[in-house]
Amino acid sequence: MERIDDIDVRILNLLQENGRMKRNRIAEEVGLSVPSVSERMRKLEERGVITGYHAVIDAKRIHIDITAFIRVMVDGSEYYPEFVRRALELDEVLEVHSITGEGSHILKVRTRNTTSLERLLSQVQAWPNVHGSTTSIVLSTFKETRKLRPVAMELADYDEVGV
Amino acid sequence: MPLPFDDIDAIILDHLQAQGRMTRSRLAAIVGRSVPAVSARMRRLEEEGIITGFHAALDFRRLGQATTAFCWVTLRGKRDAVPFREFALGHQDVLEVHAVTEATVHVVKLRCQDPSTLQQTVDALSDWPGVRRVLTCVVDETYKETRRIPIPLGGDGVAGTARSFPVARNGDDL
Repeated sequence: MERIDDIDVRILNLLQENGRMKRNRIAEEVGLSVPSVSERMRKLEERGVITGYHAVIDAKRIHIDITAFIRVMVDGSEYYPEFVRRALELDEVLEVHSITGEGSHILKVRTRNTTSLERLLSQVQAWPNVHGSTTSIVLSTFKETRKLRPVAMELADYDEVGV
Repeated sequence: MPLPFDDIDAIILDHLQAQGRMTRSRLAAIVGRSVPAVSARMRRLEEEGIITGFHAALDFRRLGQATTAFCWVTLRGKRDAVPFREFALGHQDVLEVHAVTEATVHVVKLRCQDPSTLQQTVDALSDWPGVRRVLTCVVDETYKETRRIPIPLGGDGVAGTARSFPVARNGDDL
């Protein structure tokens, strides 16, 4: 059985907060040796609990000014895979989700300016069976995180989603 | 206005977005600069707030927080905005809060344990006194979720990025 315990949880929280924290500092914080911390980190990576470590960049500082959420309606679920495949090809599309209820997909995009957003929108609207879309352009962001609240637990299994 | 950094910075940013624990010496080898020069650039990128932080990304499905939703929350009036944000930011399932172009609308991203906790959270949003209505889109599948942005390279303003890098492993990172 794959479990994470309280020490794993503390390591995960430290690394969520500071992804470049040195192993010896983590070891000090959780009261373990450096090799045991390394071993735990390796396991957390191998079991897919930690999927990566990433620098987060303030997009506006490098003149990527627009964040937007686009709700898209694709008619006919047989066209969904094609839609997702095309969306995944675009670097400006940060998130691709299929949804239940109003619309069929949500895209979160980050792009340089209104001109590049417009180009992106007309591109998406021209994809097969895209029936319509509603775009919400972000004016200000008050919170944006991927931080989770892990607890000691049995890890959940799931099937990798294919397109 | 020129970009506040050059191509070397862009390459460093792109690698650190993909592999946040890459060592300074490896980065130095990639960009063909000395380790102290790379350290100085990293420090500057952080001090100037271009890099806002480094974070481990966790698999929400593995950790049993598998229910994601986006809510379009319409408030009754403008004066509800500040207290609503305070309320939303204080809620543990809220990952994102954005004010968007439609008047008095906020987009709120939620990540919860299961559909019933999601329902409770959506109810809490809907029941908040200043909220007129909530349109909830429950995520069925997530195909991509990243915060990695394409870094513009060079004076021609063309966005170019190096593509995929493996996750750093022991011995290869800090």
